[in-house]
Amino acid sequence: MSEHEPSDEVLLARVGQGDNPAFDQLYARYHGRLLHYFARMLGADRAPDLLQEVFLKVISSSTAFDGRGGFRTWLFTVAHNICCNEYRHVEVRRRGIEAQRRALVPGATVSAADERVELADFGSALQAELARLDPDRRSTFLLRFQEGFGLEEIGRVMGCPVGTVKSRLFYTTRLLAERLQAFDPRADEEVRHG
Amino acid sequence: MASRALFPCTCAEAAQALIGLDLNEMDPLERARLEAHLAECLACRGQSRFLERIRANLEIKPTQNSAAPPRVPSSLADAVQARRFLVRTRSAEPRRPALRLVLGAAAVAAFVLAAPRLLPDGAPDTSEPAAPTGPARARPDSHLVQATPKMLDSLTSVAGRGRDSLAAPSLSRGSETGDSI
Repeated sequence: MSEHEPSDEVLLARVGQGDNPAFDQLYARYHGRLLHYFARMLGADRAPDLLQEVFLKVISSSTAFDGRGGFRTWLFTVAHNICCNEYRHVEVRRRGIEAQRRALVPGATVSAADERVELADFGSALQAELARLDPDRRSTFLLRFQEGFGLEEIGRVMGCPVGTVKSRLFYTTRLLAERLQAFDPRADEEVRHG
Repeated sequence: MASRALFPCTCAEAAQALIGLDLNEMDPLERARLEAHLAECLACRGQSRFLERIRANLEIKPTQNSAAPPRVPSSLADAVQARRFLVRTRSAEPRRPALRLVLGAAAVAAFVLAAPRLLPDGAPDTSEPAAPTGPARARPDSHLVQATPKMLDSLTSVAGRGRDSLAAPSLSRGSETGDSI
């Protein structure tokens, strides 16, 4: 965004007045990032619907935004809350499907946490490992390392203290480092020669 | 280069910095301390490299069509248009709160202008003939307490106003010190 372009907050105020060009600009700025966020949180097939849902909320609540924390923080707070609601629905469906699987295959004890993912490249493996994470830890991680949010900003989006944000990040980076160790040949080399 | 011993950085501090801050967010001294530590600590250097690799993988890469603006779904465009209609509809409604304010202000102004005629003032009313002095006669308001000069003096000492200004207009003409209520 150049200096001459209106800020997100200015565009939002215009959206509140029904300004279509202002909304188009806001949509262009954030639709890609939100699509990626939703895809990594809930899967690529759900991302377009959730993207639409978040922008509908932006339009309906455009006059309710009080400016605290900035538009980006507010936008991702809405996105995070949509993810939380979606997880509740997904969990209900998953339990139903799991129950059906057990009914079809008596004695089956496979759980998602036990499945090992064998993938060829670091990127795919990273996506797979992120998908196995607890939603709160995954969201925290994505907001930090994909979106570049600061710790306080993440705390505002997720409604938790900075200490909680830090502990989630520490836990997640340690876990990912363990699970993705096989994909880092330089680390192995350093261990051998260090 | 300054001696690294002047800028000791522990692995715990390095881990905090790598998690919570981007290099370009650090002040020069903090960045120098961290970089000095990473140059010496294999484990922390490995973690730094790991996080950079993660960032690179999570980075949203521009697509071939990134120069073209994304197509806004019609449902969203319609929602914005509905918002415009709502705003215009509300602005066309009579401004009842504002009308009340105007009427209220007019009422207050009318009251203020009429107040001198309604409220008692301190000036003696010369339109009626003065009541004759002499023995007091039975009056319709004889049951009311008559303010004596002493009472008026005590009141003026509190209010800081002249006695005359407190004297109410008499129902029938009386002297200043006499029959006022």
